[in-house]
Amino acid sequence: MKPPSNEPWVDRAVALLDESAEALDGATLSRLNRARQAALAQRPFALHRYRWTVGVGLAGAALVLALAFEIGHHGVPSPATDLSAGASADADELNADDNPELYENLDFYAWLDARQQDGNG
Amino acid sequence: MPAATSTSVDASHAIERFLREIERRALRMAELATSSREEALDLVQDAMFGFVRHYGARSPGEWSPLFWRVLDSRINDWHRRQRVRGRWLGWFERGGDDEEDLIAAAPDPREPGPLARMADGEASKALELALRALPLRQRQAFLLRMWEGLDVAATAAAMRCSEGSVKTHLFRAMANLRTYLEAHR
Repeated sequence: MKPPSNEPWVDRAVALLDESAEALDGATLSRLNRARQAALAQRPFALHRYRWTVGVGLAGAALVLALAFEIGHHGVPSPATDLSAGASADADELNADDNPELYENLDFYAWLDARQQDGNG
Repeated sequence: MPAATSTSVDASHAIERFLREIERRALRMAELATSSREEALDLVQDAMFGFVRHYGARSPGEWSPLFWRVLDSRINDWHRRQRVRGRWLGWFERGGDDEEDLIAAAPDPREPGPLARMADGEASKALELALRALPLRQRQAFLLRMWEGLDVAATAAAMRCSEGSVKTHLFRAMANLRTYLEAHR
């Protein structure tokens, strides 16, 4: 839409400019077409890159949410818990009655040890 | 996602239609600014790339002033480079601001000379010469406002200046062109 002009020469100038734009040669139009296609070719790439960015972002957000849920549900293991777990394991081991003969023959082993020491002396 | 793909394809077609509709006038505008078709083609291609990259996602109603803004920026950059090059080489300095009015230095069209003897069929060439002789901002204001049909606000957005500046540039451009083309009325 051209702005109204009170001066005939402006209308003529506009008409002449329109004619000059329509009269461009084929080689120039071909180059314009290639330029346009090249400019548009970057658009799908931009969209593709945008989709990748969104996908990676969503995956990262899901991972953070999963970790937060896991920590909230089970709690973070504290050092005190580890110590109590270790102490409990030690107590279990101490209380384990897996070699009763050792304790029953303690007198024998003490006598054997004393005899060896006397022999060395 | 088919719907998204369809939307993307529609948007690409809309941009292509817009660029195809506007590219010839863009080339002529750049050619008037550079006096070189090769330079003009480079500028239009740069403008297309910049427009699609930065503004392709905008709504189609915004495209026209944004495209002309990108092209105007490229033309201004080109003139700046030419001035720097001219200054270094010392060959010539082609002014682009309104302080230097090349029309004033042009031959007086009212005096007998080649322009006065031109036939009507050469009006197009006379107009081209007159437009090329205009300072850059005046020419841009005339072409965007009177040829492209942008309103004052859109022209100001494209030229990155105030609406008052657009009116001033346009007034001066019309006066200079009228004077230059008197012989061809």
